[in-house]
Amino acid sequence: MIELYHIWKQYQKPDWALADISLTIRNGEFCFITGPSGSGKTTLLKIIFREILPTEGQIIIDGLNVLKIPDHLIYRLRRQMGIVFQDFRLLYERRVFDNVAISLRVLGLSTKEIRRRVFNALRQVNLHQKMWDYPYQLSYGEQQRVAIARAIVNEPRIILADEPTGNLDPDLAFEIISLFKEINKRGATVIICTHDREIIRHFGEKVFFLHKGKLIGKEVFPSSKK
Amino acid sequence: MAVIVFLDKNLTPQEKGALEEKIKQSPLVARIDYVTQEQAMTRFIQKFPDLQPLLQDLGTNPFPPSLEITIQPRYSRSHLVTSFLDSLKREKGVQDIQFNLDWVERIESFDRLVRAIGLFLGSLLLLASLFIISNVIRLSVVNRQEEISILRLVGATNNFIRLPFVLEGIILGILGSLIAIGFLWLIISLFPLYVGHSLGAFKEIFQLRSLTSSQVIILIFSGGIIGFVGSFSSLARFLKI
Ligand SMILES: Nc1ncnc2c1ncn2[C@@H]1O[C@H](COP(=O)(O)OP(=O)(O)O)[C@@H](O)[C@H]1O
Ligand SMILES: [Mg+2]
Repeated sequence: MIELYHIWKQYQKPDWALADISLTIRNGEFCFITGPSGSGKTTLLKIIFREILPTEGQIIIDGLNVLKIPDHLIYRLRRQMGIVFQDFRLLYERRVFDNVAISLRVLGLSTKEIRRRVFNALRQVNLHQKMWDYPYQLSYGEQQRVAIARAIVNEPRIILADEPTGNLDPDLAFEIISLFKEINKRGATVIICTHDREIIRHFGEKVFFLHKGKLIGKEVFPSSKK
Repeated sequence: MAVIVFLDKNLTPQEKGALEEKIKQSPLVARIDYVTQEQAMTRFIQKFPDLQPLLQDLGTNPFPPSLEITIQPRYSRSHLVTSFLDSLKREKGVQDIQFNLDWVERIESFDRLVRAIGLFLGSLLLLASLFIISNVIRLSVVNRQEEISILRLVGATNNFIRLPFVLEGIILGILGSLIAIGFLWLIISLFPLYVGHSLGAFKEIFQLRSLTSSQVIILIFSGGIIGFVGSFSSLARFLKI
């Protein structure tokens, strides 16, 4: 369970990127955070995986106070998460394979196991033919799928995806969200930031609406498609 | 260096033997040669043949017998020599001692100065190498900053991230000390070839000794430590958040 209590975030005075956000996401939920650009979606996600610290507030994940975790133990939290960054954050001088494998290398898995799982993840995002290409040889949409493969390859319990369909054409976007939905069905909690109304209309089960850093609404749709 | 101990003419052979034995005990002594009155006179005549008639007129042999002591080269600059000479003076049958104490003391203070300069330069170089290594590592850390942040975000432990950099630092440090040892060896083997002859009598004073094996090991080890510390410190900043 992910619990946020009265989260405030200020990058620079006097603007608040987030203002008094409180929300709860239970294990196994499939939810969206939406809102116009600049409303604080990315900031909220970064606070959840603790890339940045909130100015005020508390975050509890599975009973653990995230802000109290010392820097050298933060890896325990991150190993449970798969993160798709809005800006991909790929290593452009490394091949697609190595970009995805990095999530597994840090776990110390065998080369054979890494190969198997990386291939599997790349196949799920339909990019296994480009395994030995470099990211700069790929289109934005393909790079985005490399980022997605890296996030799902270690079968995390929590997936955090920041605009994962921002560069994909509608068909592929639906395919990718379906993939997340499938992973969610296998038990993972999935949190997706998007401003794509079509996707929310189609997949939305639980949606948080952000506007200028404030949580202005929460909608829970009947989980007919679950 | 050599010390000449002039002996009493009336010393019995036993007394002389005892004295010689006593001197030999000292670890400072490398060699000891007995020069009889006759040998001393012969040497003198060889050196100054013009004065031979003068000696013949004298009728007796004015040269006292002596012991010529060679001090171990490795102690020739030691303060032990001074106390050794003092104790020699007090021995029975010793008339006089010839040596250049002035030199001994001057060399000693020179030695202290050289040591102090060496220590100063040594610590300066140590700091410099620490600085250089940590900067080299910092450069490669900054180059791979993106990768480090990704590694942290996908759940790498700090040690996993540190390992390659720390290894790089240690290898740099060890390589550095190996190169230093190599240069030192080169200098030691070339120095005498170039200036050895012009040094003449000073050769003994300006001896260059190669490092002992334990010094070599310490040097390599501290090179590794410097590399380790240098890389560790330049990484710390990047292992937050
Ligand atoms: N690193 C930063 N420094 C300063 N301001 C920032 C930074 N990141 C985001 N912001 C500001 O915080 C607000 C929220 O940004 P963001 O979380 O990226 O919104 P979204 O992802 O919804 O587009 C915006 O006004 C943005 O300009
Ligand atoms: Mg954003």
